[in-house]
Amino acid sequence: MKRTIPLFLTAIGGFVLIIAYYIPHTQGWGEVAAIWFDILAAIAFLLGGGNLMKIHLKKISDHKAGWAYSVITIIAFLATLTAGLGKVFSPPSMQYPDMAWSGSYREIGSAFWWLFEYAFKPLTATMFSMLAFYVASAAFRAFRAKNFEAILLLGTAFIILLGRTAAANWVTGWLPESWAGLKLENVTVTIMQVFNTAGNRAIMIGIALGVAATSLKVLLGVDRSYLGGGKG
Amino acid sequence: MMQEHTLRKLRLLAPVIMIAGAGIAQAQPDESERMVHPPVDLTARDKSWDGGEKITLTWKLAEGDPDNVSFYRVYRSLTVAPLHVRELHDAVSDLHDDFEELDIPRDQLQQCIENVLQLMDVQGIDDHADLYEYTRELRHARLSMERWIQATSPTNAETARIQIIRDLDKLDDAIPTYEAQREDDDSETSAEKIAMMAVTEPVLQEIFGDDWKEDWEERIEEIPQDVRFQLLEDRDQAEEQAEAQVARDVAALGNQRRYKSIEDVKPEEWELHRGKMSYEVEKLDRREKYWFKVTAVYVEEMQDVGEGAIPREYESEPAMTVAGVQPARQWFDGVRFPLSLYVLIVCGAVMIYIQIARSGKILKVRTIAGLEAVDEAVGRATEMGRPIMFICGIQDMNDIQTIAGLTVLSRVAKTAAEYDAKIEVPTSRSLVMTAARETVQAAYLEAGRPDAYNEDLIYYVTDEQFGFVAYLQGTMAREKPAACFYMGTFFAESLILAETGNSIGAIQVAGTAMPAQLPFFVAACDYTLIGEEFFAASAYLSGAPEQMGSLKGQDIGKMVVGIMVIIGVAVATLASVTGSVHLNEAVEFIRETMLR
Repeated sequence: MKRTIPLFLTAIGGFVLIIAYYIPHTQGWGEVAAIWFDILAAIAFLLGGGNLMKIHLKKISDHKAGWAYSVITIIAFLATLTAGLGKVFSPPSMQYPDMAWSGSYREIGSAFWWLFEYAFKPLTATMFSMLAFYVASAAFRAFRAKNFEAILLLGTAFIILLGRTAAANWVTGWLPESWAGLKLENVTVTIMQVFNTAGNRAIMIGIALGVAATSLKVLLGVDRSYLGGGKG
Repeated sequence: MMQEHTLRKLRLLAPVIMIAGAGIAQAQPDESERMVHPPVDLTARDKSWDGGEKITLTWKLAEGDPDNVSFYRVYRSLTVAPLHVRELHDAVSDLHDDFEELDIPRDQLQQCIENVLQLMDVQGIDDHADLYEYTRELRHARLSMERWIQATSPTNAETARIQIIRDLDKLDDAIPTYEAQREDDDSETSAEKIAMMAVTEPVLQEIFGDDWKEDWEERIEEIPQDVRFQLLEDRDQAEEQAEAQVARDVAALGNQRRYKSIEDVKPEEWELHRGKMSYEVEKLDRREKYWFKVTAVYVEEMQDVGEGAIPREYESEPAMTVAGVQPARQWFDGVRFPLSLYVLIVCGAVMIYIQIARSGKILKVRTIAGLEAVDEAVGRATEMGRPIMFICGIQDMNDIQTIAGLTVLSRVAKTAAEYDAKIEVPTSRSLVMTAARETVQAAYLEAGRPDAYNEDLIYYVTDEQFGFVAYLQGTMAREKPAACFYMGTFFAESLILAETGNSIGAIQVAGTAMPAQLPFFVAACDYTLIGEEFFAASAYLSGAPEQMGSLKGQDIGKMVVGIMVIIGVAVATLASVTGSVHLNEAVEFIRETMLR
């Protein structure tokens, strides 16, 4: 029973979405299913918050490695929650200027807005900027000419890199118009539009088939491993 | 005497002036050469078998195309069906909600909002005065909003900003619609009705008196024959005149209607051969009527205008649709019929092969190195006494990749339970955490080690992408897991995670269906499940016959795709080489219907 009901709900939800895709008159059903999921996810958010507190408080109490980070996490979590729920320093809305809590929690000048603008955004940007260094280190490792395939990869990457910079014009800019196809910027475009697109589409077709087969297995209850496997 | 002399001189000079004038006239650009003829026979009809959002336009090419036409410009009416007063009122309420959500500086829009709110109290729009008030205030709101948008760029209010622009557009369009429709209703008179009123009615009134409407049809014989003939003749004549007048009225109304340009379309080579082209207008609202017009446009060539100059456009008179067309919603979306057929073939094949596999037939599947490495990775972690880290991507349970990731987790957790290795599953969504706990618990139970299951090792971190990555990076650097699995949907964080794992020397297996992230995983991980391999993982790892059958079913799908690709390429190549109208139509059908 513990698995039969989830399987039944999955099948109903899945088939409703399929029907809504083909029959315009039932499009609303799909929207309702999506709203139900949103409601469920919103409730689960409480579960997530509770779990976050439990895990980090336990870490602090056990003095596990990096427990100080858990302290920071809990402080940040509670501070943001208080700022958002309490609408701290949030100006009242223009419609009800006499009511202190009538403004949005994201109002410019509110504590939540301040945390978002001056703490969250810079931290996110910092994490994202690290990507540049990781790309360099991964490229260095991937482009080592160990065998024929790696040499091919290295050569292609080299052409693309040159073709996307001003260097392309210095290297092959002198070629006459009748040989324009060999100019690095044009070679780059050909590689991206023909070889890269062909490879990408082949992968995409495989993915689409995989998605269809997996969805069917889930809807028919053939694959139940995401529910913990075994028979219903 | 003097005047006579001057006149004689002028007469002598006349031929010279005429020749010079002709020369000047030749040197001037001939405007008539640039006159662009309009397209003809424009028709609009609702696209059959669709979801009620498309209308197909067809027209015959303009005279002089292609030499004198660069492209056709398609316009659609903004003034569509009348917007009900209640809808207008609702739209203002939406606008009010938008204002509420948006972080608008109070000093700039306070007055405007107050005015709009005041207008919301109006219980209906029955006359032009109310409508005018709405128009004025909303336009004022729009101007203020545009100024505000230009001055600031609030990322946290992006959604609300888009919403408010959309609502303002809707209102801006709705008001003239209402006005135009009123005019439309007033001029809605047929030629027959006009003729009847102009000619027949006065005569009938004269003959039968004021109560002529009562029984004139029965008493028609009382009218003298010559009068009757004269009456019919006059009425036919009046009808002709009225028809012309109605046509003029409709055209005038069409000119009053507001249009917006939606697309510049250039006829293909084969359409030039056919002398006719069509265009599908999309994203229409099925509750409204639309009018269209198409013009032929000629744009000057760059070499004609000289460097730095802007080429001039010459636009023809428009071809217009007289009657409004309303898109209708059908019971079955026929545009998706080819897709439904393909889905049936693939799903049918999967189900047939599942049955074949259940009947005991052994199905062979090629070795997938990434999945063979699962045991190796778990064994390594056990030997080293370090944990295994499993990440199911950063999307929620409504993503099929997350589900595929959980199926792999089931197998990894079972192996970990058998080897007595510690498996840690941080998640970025609460629902995924709950599902992962169920999965791992069941896997431990299946492995006969329910006591070893620790639910605290499957926990929620944060929904925020880079917050999640920061946590994982820190954990990986501190705990140094021996094996890392990345199975699910990943975006920019893929390389950050994989490179961190690489730097701590963990054995890494990744699987995703995000083509843009695959190169990063391939570069930084030991094994990568590419696209369909990832979805095949569940079947491969379980080895269950019904699951293996689904993999074979997918192969049938691949064969169908292969055949379709070959047919499509052959038809497109032949169409391009021969320029055949039929083949080009077939290519268009493949592109517009089958590939949509």
